[in-house]
Amino acid sequence: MDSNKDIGTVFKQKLEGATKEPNAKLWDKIEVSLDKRDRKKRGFFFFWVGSGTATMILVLLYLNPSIFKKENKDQKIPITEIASENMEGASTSEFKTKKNNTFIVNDSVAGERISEFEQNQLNDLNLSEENSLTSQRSSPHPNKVNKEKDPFMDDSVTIKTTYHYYNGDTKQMLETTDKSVIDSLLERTNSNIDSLKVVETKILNPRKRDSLDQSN
Amino acid sequence: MTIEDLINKCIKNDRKAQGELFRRYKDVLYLTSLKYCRNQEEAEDNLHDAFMVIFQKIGTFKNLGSFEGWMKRITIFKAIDTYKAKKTIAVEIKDDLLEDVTIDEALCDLPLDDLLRLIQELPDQYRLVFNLYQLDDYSHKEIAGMLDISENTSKSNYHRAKQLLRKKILDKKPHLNYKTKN
Repeated sequence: MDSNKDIGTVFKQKLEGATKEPNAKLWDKIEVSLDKRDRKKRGFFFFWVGSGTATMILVLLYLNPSIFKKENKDQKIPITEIASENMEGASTSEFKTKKNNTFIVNDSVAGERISEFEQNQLNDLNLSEENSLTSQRSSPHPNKVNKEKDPFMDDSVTIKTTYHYYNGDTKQMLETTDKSVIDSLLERTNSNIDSLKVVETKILNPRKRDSLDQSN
Repeated sequence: MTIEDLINKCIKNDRKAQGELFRRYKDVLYLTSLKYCRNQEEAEDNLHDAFMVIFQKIGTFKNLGSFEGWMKRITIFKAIDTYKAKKTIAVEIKDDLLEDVTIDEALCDLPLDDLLRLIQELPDQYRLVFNLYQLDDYSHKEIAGMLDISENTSKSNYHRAKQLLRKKILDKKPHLNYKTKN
């Protein structure tokens, strides 16, 4: 009996329907690969969303660059601190010192900062009353700006300081600063602009008054 | 759970369903990998890569044929891709040398692992052609297209593969005779 068969056919019959179990850890490997691929997909998604948003912002800026400029203008709120004081009862020989401070503040906490600044300035004036008066009288440039850095102010705050001499008898203001600035401040005061007003009152002590009277 | 439910959940990237699908078909597809690869390690790598493609492309399965057949094709094509990446030059045999290669069936009464090893030991292109033509019923024309070879090369590779298999079996059992037919 001839039992010879085509070897290909024999192999096919033997392998038909056969199965073999792979390594038990293979699924763990596949699971790790699937997790990696999912993370990659998410990363890819966020990358495109981020890139798209950035591109949109750039395009908007390119097409209408004034959008952000306008917002900045709105945020720049000039707050004027105007010194005014009750001059009633002041004698001819008495000199009152007034200090005008103008702030341009760009952030929303300006009010708090100015309050702190106001308190600080009043304290400073009380402590250095005598020195301040002497320097004003003797200095050829009485309106010289004090450039010492204030610990309560940051770089976003600009301070302009102007000094005045007031004659109580004539009731005339002797101006030593740029007149246009003073005029604008007075106009703002008269038109009741809703701005922060800080009163810095400086009354000389009796001993100093006497010395000033003698000098006049 | 029906296979349709399983497929739908796999499309939604449900990890449990993917695990269940793997458990159901891993043995069949592993045998396919073993036939097409050189050894167990390569076969496991191939099965891993095949399942990654299956989970990625499962949404494209159109229910036109058997799902198992679809997965089997992916497994085979993955093995062919690996082969193409490290393709070696194949030797073509002239048609007039082709002859039927027969063997006593009793000689092939070997354990599954031994039969698989015999196939794995064939040169890469012979092994692919033998598997595709003999075990998975692809035509020489289809094989030529898949492996970027001519039909004649496919035919000669198939013939050469059978000769090598017979030789290996007889080398294991040299006391038995074999015949060849023209």
